[in-house]
Amino acid sequence: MTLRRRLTLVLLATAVPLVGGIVWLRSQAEHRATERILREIAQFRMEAVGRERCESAPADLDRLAVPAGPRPGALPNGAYPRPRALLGDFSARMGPPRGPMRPWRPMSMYAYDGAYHSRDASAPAFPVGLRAHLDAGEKFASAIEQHDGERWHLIALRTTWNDGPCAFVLARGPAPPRLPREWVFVSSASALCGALLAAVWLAVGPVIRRVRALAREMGVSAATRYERPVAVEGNDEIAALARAFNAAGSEVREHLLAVEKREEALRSFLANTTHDVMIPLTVLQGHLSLLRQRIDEGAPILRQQVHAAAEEAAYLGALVHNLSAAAKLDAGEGIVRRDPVDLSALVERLVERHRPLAEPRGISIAFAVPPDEAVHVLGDLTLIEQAVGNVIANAVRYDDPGGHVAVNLETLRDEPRRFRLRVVDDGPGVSDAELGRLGERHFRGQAGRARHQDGQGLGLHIACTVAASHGFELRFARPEAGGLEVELAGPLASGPAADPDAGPGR
Amino acid sequence: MAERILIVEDDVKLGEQIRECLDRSGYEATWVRTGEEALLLSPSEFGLLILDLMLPGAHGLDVLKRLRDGSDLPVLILSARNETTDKVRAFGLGADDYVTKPFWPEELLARVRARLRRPLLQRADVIELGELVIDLAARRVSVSGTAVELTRVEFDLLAALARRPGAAIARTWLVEHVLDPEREGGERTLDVHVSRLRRKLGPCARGLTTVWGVGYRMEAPER
Repeated sequence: MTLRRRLTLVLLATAVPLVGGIVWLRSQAEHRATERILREIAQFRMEAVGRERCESAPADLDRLAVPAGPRPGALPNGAYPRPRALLGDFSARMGPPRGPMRPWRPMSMYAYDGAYHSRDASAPAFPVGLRAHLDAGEKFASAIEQHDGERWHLIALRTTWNDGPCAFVLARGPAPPRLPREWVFVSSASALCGALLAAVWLAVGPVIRRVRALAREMGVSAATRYERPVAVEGNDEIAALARAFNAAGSEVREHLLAVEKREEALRSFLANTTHDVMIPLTVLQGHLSLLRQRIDEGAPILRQQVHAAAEEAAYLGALVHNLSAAAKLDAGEGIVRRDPVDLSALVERLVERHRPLAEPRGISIAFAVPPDEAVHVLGDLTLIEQAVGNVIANAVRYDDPGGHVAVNLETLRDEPRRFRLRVVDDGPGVSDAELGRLGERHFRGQAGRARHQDGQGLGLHIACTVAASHGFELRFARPEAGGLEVELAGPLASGPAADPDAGPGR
Repeated sequence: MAERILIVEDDVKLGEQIRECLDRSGYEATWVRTGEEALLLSPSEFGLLILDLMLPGAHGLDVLKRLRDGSDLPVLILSARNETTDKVRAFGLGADDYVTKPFWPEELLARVRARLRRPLLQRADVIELGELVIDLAARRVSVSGTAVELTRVEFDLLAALARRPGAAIARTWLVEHVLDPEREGGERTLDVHVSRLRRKLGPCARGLTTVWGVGYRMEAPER
């Protein structure tokens, strides 16, 4: 339902009963006033006529009671052949007759004895309803009577003497019509309603236009994914609505963008994973196929080929974990977790993980952690493990057969609230120019490129990003004896979290 | 008697592979595929539980939670998702260690051994490493029953290494904790002390190895 239609209906629903009620109340008030006046006149006249005069001519009360005077109008014909004029005082009290169409109507009075019989032949039968009231002891009673299309008041009075032929008096006088005679009143009430309706329509018009314009703008804004805000005009409720819409729109847009970014990261992760996993997987299949051929031919299996296949498999696993970490870091989620991480346990775990790759190639891998103290840092266990694991994997992968990889975790005597984790190898190392670029994404040194064509250069980049996001420092150095040294340093977790038995990350 | 290990892994190939690997390494492995089956068994019969997190029906963490109600059986978690939340929750529920998939059987074995041989640190007053016997309280050392005279630094050095057999100790740590900070210098001095100690240990000197890039280690005797 439109706003206009609703307002019209509401206005009509309230105005019509209101006008009707006023008309009814007014009609009731007029009815009661007329009745009271008629009763008072009848009482007054009976007092003026007196018992003796009435009883001397009870059939003629009307004439006795109403003093002679000019008859202002013709009398209606009917069952009341002797109506008398209602004289000046009554006319004055009733006010001038209203409207040219209203004929003047007289008041008549009839006397009745105790048994409600009148000696006046023209007197109407005493209304039964009124008799009941008088019998019940009331001094007067009244009723309305319809006659010849006119409404009449019937007023029954008990005279003060209360017996003889004039024990009761019935007065009949004009009653106001059921509906108000004042058409002016009715028409003005209707006009008022009409005017109100028009005013409401006029007032609502601009509001409706603005609401419609706002709805249109909202549609456009939604179509542009809330990039375009709606115009805010003025300082009223519609402006407040527009402002609220803009606020909600920008919130929705923010969520949309965040979701899109996450989706993009996921899509990119899937695309990268698919692409990058397929290459080492193909290489692995190649190794396995060659091994199968050699078995079929009865040729000895080369240790080197088995190691190469194992390396590819390990590389695949690391790659998937790295891509997952990269997607997490790229999505800008930041480091969401800050749990106490036991670096000693982490180092031991990582060395054990890389030993099966290192030892078959004749590379020894060893580690040391502070013997009697827990080394806890705050951070994301998975990301830190991934970062340190990448550094160790890098050292193992690029070291020469017969080489060494050492992982040292220390707390520093000079700086007691800091840790230092060093991964050293005695492989070919990198040049000075390459040293500064090791943390770049997709960068791999010459030695690496020669050995692992399918790598992504992701590992050390992730290590750098994770270190930075945890507030750790990651440095690359070339030890004098050759090889590469990677040092990760940062603050230890303080407080109860550093309790070796309390926190997770063991 | 072989140590009994319970494996909960829903994947048939992986579960079978782990069981075989442990059996070959001298353990007695029992493999079940669901958490419900695992909870029907008595934890006290096993020395270690290897628990996969992503199980059909009850999640691995739920199994861990219910197990921890009345048992302190060491638990090694197998995690494929590599999510920090999983690991932190597992540790919070009393897991002891985890291995992220994919893993090498050797890696898993190393984690299993590490769990089963703890505590690594020797607390006894007398440490016996084959023919080498070290009385920490009396500060006496003997090789094949013959007493060996050691200086204070040599004894402290040997004790530090022997208390953690199989674990490498960093040179920097030994310099800081064993050498006299007022009298003696750096890692060169340490090497001199080690060299003298080796001479004095005679046939047992083979157990005191140099670890490249790290420091020194006292090898654990073969069991």
